[in-house]
Amino acid sequence: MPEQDNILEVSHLCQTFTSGHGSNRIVVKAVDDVSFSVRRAETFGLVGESGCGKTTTGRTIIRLYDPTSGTVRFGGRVISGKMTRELSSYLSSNIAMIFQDPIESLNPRMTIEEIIGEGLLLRGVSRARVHEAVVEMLHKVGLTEEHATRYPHEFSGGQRQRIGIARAMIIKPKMIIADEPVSALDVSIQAQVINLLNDLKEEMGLTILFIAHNLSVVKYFSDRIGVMYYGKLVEVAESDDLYAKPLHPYTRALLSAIPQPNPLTERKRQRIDYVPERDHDYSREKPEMREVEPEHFVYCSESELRAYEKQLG
Amino acid sequence: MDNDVILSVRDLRVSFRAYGGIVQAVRGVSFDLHRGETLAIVGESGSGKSVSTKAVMGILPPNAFIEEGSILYAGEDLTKADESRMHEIRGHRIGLVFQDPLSALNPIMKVGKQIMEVLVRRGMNKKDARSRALELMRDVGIPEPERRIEQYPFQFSGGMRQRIVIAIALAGDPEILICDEPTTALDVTVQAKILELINTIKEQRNLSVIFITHDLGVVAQMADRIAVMYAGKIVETGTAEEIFFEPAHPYTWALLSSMPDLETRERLTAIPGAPPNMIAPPAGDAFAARNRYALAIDFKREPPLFRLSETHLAATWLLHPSAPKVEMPRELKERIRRMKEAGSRA
Amino acid sequence: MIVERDRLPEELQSIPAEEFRRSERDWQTDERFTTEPIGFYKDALRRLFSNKVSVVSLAAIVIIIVLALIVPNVTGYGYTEQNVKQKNLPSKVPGLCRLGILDGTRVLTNIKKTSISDPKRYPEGCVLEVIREYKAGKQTVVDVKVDYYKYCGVPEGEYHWMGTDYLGRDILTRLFKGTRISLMIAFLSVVTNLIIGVVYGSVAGYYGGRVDLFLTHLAEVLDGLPYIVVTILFMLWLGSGMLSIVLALTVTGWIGTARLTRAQFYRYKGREYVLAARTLGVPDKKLIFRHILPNTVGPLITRAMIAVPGAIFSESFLAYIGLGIKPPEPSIGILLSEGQKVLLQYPNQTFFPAVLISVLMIAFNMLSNGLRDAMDPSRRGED
Repeated sequence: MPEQDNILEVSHLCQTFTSGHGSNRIVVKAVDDVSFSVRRAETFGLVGESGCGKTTTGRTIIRLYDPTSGTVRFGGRVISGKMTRELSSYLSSNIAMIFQDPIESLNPRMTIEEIIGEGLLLRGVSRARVHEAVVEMLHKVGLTEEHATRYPHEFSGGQRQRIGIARAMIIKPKMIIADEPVSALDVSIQAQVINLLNDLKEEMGLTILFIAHNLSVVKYFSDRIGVMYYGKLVEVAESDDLYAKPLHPYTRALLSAIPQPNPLTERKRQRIDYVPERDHDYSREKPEMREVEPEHFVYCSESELRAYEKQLG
Repeated sequence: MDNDVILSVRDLRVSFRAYGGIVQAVRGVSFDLHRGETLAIVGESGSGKSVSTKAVMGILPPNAFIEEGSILYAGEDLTKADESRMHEIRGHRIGLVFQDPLSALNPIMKVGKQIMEVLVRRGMNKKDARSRALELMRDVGIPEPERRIEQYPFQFSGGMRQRIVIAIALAGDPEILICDEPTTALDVTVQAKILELINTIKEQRNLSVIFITHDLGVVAQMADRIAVMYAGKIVETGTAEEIFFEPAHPYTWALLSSMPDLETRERLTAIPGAPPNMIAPPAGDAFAARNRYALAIDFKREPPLFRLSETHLAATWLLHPSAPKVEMPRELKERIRRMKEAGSRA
Repeated sequence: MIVERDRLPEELQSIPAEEFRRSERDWQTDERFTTEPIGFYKDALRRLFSNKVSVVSLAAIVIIIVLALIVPNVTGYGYTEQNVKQKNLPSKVPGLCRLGILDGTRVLTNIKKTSISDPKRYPEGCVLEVIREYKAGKQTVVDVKVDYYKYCGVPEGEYHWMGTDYLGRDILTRLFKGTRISLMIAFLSVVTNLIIGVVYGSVAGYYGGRVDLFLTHLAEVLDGLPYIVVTILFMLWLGSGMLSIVLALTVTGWIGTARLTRAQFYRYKGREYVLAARTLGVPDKKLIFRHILPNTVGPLITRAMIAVPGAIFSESFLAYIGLGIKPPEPSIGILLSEGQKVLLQYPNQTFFPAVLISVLMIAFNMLSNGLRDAMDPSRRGED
């Protein structure tokens, strides 16, 4: 991939989970040789269905899991190596995460001020300063100072998600990993959170790794998109390109499956199936990530590449 | 009541006893289900869409009670039917498909047996029941039914499990199929197939379907008619075209414009605030506090359903002749234009 | 109600036009809170106190504790003070004795009629009533109701509310002294069990993997030891006494707490808010104590509360089979065991300790039920 101003570079990342011992030992390849890079101040969307490894990828980058192999660079520095105290503090002051579940992701025993301010307190900021910062952050996410003394259960889902965003933003990270930040919210609330993320992104010049299964939201929100299928990244392209000319058969199946709120088109829609055994013949050629046209990568074999190039004309 | 109507719900009110007080989950809902149509009930969590259909099925949780209203099915008021009669209706007349297929199936019983159970209860002998069960499994698109019939629910994927649930619902030969968010727990590609399946069996068996969902995309694919629910009431109802292309209620406007479609680039119009607390629902129009087009009367008095066409009703004071002329938001107009364009291209 | 727009009912037509002006409400802000903020523990307490059974149980426990602290000092008798002349006295309570109940009388049977009039054996005025008179052989035998206090020569104005035991010790004093010791043993063993169990369980649960495997298996081995044998070994080694009883109750007692803590850790360490704290760089120690452990407080307090009557009962059981604390120190179990020997003749010696231990155990069990409900996080914010 071309060396641009990449803030995050993931190369050949693998993450396997094992369970059981001896003959019962099961190894699951959650992330299988995934490479991509995210540019400074862009939003990179990672889409796929449940179990495709998109969440694991995000969590491995921020080191909630130790990667099995591969390297992750952030700002030029390798962050996939041995965990030291220094690396841990480097990570936590540069990358923050927003979680899916607005109920699960806030500690029920802590007040909103304690939750949002924790990251700053850990960095030795004085209590008075933390309070100021918390109040400022609350205003930014559309809440008020009086909310600071409250406990999470008193808030609605959308408000809680905004609190989660405030917690991530207060340390002024360079990058945010947003893992399905709206999918647990009601339709009428999702737009509030999406708008807020967009505003903060503009204001703070954030880089966002946006992980979601809702393709309309990802399309709206992301500059570039990576599609994952069973632990593999199968296609990466700029979001308009991906939707205008999807190449990998899985991407096409996925796109054809998104229900669009339009009864006229929806009733006549032809859906595409993806059957890996039928759609690929990898018996002679090995597939790998190849650039079909500038900025458009597909996981394919040599002959598939030629077919795709022909398709694009 | 014209004889095309198969199920008729009138002024249904359902409440729950909760710790904080009485939750008024459904506050006067009326709708008709016509033979062979799909009626989609759309709403957010807590809008009462699920509770209304649970009342129809007689499967309300123990702390819920029907305050008033009637549910007429084949000349019988189901709110007055006893449990054994309801059991009969659930087995035969009305089939149910839930959101979570895993909890709808008995985990320690072979799926074949679970399908056959319904058939045997209807007086079929074991041998016939088995061959009918295989047939049903084939109908709902389960490959190798002879092998799969001996398996347990955990050996199936989410989509396949939902197919089993549908097969069980079909085993009673129902006239009505109620689908309560049947694809919410599934991935999009699987969802697409299940929706297709529901549409196919509906055509084949001339079923009437009540389809509950919060996803407008799914609604567009499934619905002939749509009822939009908010805070325990139907705020707008009409044919799919009417709701998508000529929406009249500000809540419907907000719903349609708050989610991005593939074309959207501009800032989304978010609905501020959160749905009201149903223990003490606000006076007047429950949506007023979040409605940027709210009128003074919205906070005092509940709007009646204004008729816009034979099929199209909307409960908003904006339709009163004395109300100021308020047009739907510009972004939504733009989006509807795009939708129509895409429709004529397709 | 469905209305046609071109044929509006009269009543709708007559709505004044000003009602249809645009509302000037600020619709953009979030709703303000109208209630006071409530912390978890405050909320739990509020719900605990709204439960009548819990309040009564708590009151019973507090009263018993207060009595245990005060009573042995104010009865005027020492708990080891013996008086062989005044042994096995029935209960006599001031005030009540005038009503004819708990008045220190007792029926003596099969007494030679002639001996009643012997003032050496039956001091004057002690025989209240001859209940029955009959012949046995040549002797005239009588059943008499006597004022047992006078009979034993107890000075007027001295009362033993619950009577005395076979050494003439005041049971009331001994019972509450014994309650004090029993409760102390119970609390000490529960607290040590909690500390050991929480630390052990936290380490196993938080680190998981090999550490967990090792610790869990070790606990299982300890759990397999027969508890009576271990206790007897402790008694032999340390001699009978409070320390050895507490130790005996601790050897296996903490394992349950450790299991509970470990399970809670497994439940909470994968929660998104714990992950969120990890991504913020919160160190392990803080994760354990601030983010995970507070969630185990509810179940732990409940468990500790259930463990208290368990420990009291275990102590009583040990005392009963003769492995209790060193005599003449009393405990509820010792009193029960002594009372049981004369259960048929002097049921009062068993009755009072039995009532007290029952009340204690029921109260602790009820209170722990109430606490469990009050601390159940799924019922936050409810009334």
